[in-house]
Amino acid sequence: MRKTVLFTLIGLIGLLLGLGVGGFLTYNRTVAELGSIPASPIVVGTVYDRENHTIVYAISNPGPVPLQLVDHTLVFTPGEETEEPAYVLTNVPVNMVLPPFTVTSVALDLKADTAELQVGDAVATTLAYTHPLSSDLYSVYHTQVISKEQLQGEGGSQQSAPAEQQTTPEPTPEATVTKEGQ
Amino acid sequence: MMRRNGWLWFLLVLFLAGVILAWLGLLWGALLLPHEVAFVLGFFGFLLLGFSLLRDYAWAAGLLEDVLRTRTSEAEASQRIRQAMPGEPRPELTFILLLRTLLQSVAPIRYAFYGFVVLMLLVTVALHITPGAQALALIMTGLFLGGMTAAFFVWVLDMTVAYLLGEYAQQLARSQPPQPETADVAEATG
Repeated sequence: MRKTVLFTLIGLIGLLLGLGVGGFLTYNRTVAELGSIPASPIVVGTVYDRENHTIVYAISNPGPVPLQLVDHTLVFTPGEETEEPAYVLTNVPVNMVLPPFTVTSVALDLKADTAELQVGDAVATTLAYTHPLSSDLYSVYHTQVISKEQLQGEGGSQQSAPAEQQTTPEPTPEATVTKEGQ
Repeated sequence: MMRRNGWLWFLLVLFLAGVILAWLGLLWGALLLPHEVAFVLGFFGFLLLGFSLLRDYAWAAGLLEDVLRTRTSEAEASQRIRQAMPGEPRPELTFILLLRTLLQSVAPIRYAFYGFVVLMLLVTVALHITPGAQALALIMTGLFLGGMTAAFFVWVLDMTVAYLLGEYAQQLARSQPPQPETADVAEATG
């Protein structure tokens, strides 16, 4: 009887110890391995800021590796309510870091001296980014047809995402169309 | 002659090699992560710390089991203990008292060993609840779990010896029921 109790106890404690050791080693190695896999940024929200004439993207970095936004290319396609002709801003430098596991607001200037965006206008943006594990340039292509809720300004106080960090790259209209990236 | 330190040198060399490699930063990176190095070092460190316990408990358990299964007579077992403990002068001691003297000689080491285990546990818990010490707490947990793995072996041998001593006392009580001295021995061994 005593023997049974003793060796059951030893077996149980050994089992728990093995569970603890195995869980500890496996969990921390998994964390270390997963912690080096970069994710692709996701545009989770778009707002047009009338006062600054910028389009503000809420960009989520769902991975553990910080991503570096390098530049963006913006294609404006007019809708039915505007007289503004279509235009393209090419390879405007952004230089911004998307920290891991956060949503960052990125404000991109529209072309200077153009009319405000109206409902129905389409803005297509190609964001080029890099990450530390590779020297390649990656890109995210995001198209947005502006709706009523996305028009902001004149006291429109709803600010969407946390971690406000605004870059105001100088809009270089008719920038040289260099074939960089994909 | 039975209490040789055969494995001690092997363990010591392994442990020192691990410490030097970890010190030079050669172990982690490609091969092992820092907390895994800590686990290995904690394991070998505590094996070294509890080496005499492991050795003596394993030896005592083997001897006790031989006596219980009557593969070895008590006189022969006493002779072997005397050889292992050259300084023991009292010739009147019985086998079981000799064995207890042997186990008593490592009792301070046992106390220190379990004390170190508790100390490691406390330091690990303290690091876990210290804000901003996550990296250190991870390393310390690795050391602690490695030490616990070694401590588990020591504890199992400890328990085995205690169990076999109890068996021996029961056997003694069964073989000589009416005599009052056996109660003393059983009490002393149990």
